[in-house]
Amino acid sequence: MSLFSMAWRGLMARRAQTLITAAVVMIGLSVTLAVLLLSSGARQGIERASEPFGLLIGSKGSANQLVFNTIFLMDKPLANLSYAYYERLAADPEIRTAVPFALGDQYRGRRLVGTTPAFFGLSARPADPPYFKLREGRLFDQPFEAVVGAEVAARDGLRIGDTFVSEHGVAASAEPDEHGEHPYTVVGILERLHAPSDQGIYVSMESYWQSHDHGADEAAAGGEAHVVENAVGGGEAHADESPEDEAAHGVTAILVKPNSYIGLMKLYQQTNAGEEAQAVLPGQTLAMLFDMMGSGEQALRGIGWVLLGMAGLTVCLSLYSSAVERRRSVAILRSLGAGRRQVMAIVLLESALMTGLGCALGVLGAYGLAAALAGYARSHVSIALPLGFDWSSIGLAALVLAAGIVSGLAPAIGAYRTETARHLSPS
Amino acid sequence: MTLLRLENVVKRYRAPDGTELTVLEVPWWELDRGERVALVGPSGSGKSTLLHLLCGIVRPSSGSITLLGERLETMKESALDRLRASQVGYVHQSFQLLPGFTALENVLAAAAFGSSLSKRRQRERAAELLERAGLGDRLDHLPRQLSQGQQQRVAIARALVNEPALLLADEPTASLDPETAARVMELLIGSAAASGAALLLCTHDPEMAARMERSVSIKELAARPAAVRLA
Repeated sequence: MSLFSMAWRGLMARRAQTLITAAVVMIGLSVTLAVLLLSSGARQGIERASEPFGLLIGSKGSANQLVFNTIFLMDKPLANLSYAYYERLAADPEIRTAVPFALGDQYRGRRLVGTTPAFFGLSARPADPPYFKLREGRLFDQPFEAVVGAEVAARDGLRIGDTFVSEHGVAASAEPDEHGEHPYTVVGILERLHAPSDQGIYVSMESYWQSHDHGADEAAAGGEAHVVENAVGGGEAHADESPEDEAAHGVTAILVKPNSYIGLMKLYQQTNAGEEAQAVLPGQTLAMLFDMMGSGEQALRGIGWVLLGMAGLTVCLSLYSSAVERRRSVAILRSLGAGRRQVMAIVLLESALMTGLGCALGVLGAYGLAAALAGYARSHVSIALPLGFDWSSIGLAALVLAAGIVSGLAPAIGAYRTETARHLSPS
Repeated sequence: MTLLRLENVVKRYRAPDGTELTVLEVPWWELDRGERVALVGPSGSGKSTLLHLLCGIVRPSSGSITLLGERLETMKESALDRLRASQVGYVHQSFQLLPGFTALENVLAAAAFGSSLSKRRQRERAAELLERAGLGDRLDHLPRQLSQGQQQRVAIARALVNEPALLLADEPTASLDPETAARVMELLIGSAAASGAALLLCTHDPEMAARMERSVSIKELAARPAAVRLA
């Protein structure tokens, strides 16, 4: 019989106490690790989703709102920029790619995005393959053809050839105001990216405009649509358009990839210095968002550490409360011929096993908890939180294990010093 | 053939008030191999202290104890532990079984420290001893699932697993009813005889003492001058 088996038997003799202690260690470690895993996962997931979009140019207003509009397909869209503004940027030789991005209607809460086929060619770096890939079908080339994100296809059961009718507004309503006269036909389904773009429905700018001609009419009557004055001569291209037409024929944002980093910074500064539009670097805005989220994350992390501290104290308490019983067992073992070092090793093994059990369950629990929360995030905002195996989780578990073993040192030394004869007297 | 010799052994303890109390004094005593001796005396007379000295878990304040030619007082503690594990079996009054260990594991725990047999042979021997003690169907029972008599039989099997030269039994039947006590004594004496171990039985029960080859009281041990060997 090995010392390990003896330690395990010793623990099993105090089964309830052992399990409660291991459970406390498990909960402490699970919460701490899950927070760590999710916070780094969330950053990675969001940063990855924002990479292909480049510099965002939209009308003056909230930078966060512009990021939410384009990357997360969330929030009310900012006021439109004129299409002429887009055309001017697209014609700029300093700019490699400019893609219009127009948020308009929705279908069952999924946002319709008016854009051009160039949108599907966007990539994080020029050398990278396109971020978006077709899983089935083709890109749109006619009005009222749609390419849908993987989540839309999966959740709403849309297949190639299916038709659907969009609704006004940003969210599904109980009494939809449908564009019944303009049904869309699904011609392509994108591969899943585990990003908010999985929830988008992508249509041509023509489709967007045509459906919005109807919307603009309503806006003219109801005064809902917003127009941004084209201060830099936007009137040239569409001088004959009324403000309502501009609203309908504008874009929410322009996704811009200048030829060089210098060009990017120049455009960024010039745009923000002007009065018409704002330029937003998603990475910067997201960094600010992460900083804001960071305080909440810190609080959660703090709670995790407190739980871990409590777990450590519980291990100590458990080991001390079993000291009396253990003294008798140690005395018996010594009378059987066990050396002082052997009984010390058994007690240390007991604390290592008890903490180790808690740590193993804690790591599993952390991944389980993180996976459950990541699943929730994926299904609700389509943000993939990468939860690959992280060695730092093992590092933290090892730290907790080491702390458990250290807390077992005092009782182990107690066992080493146990006066055998004294504890062998009949009880 | 002498197994054990005590020469001018004194054990003193320091009382809480700082004074030294002599709890045991044995000028001279020997025990032969395979002998069965009863050590009698009232409670608190130092019987248990003597057993603790003989198995080396307590060191004498002065004097010499020789077991199998080894002088215990000069041995390093680790060597003493090894000698105790392999050559001394101990049966306690209150059984002293390890609570989370099954009957078989209690016996195997002793084998782990004192047996030179392979793990498989240790297991076979432990099971064999328990079967001989009438516990063949209780190998996987925890102490709390066994009666007192059964627990003491496990303790006897445990004491014998390493085929010790010396078997110490401290009031082994004191917690048992007369019928169970008689059966346990039978097992103890029979097992010691079968293995050739010397048996030193502490008891205050004259009936139990009568079953030994000879009997000696603690008082007698202390009174004998060093030059006289007890017969």
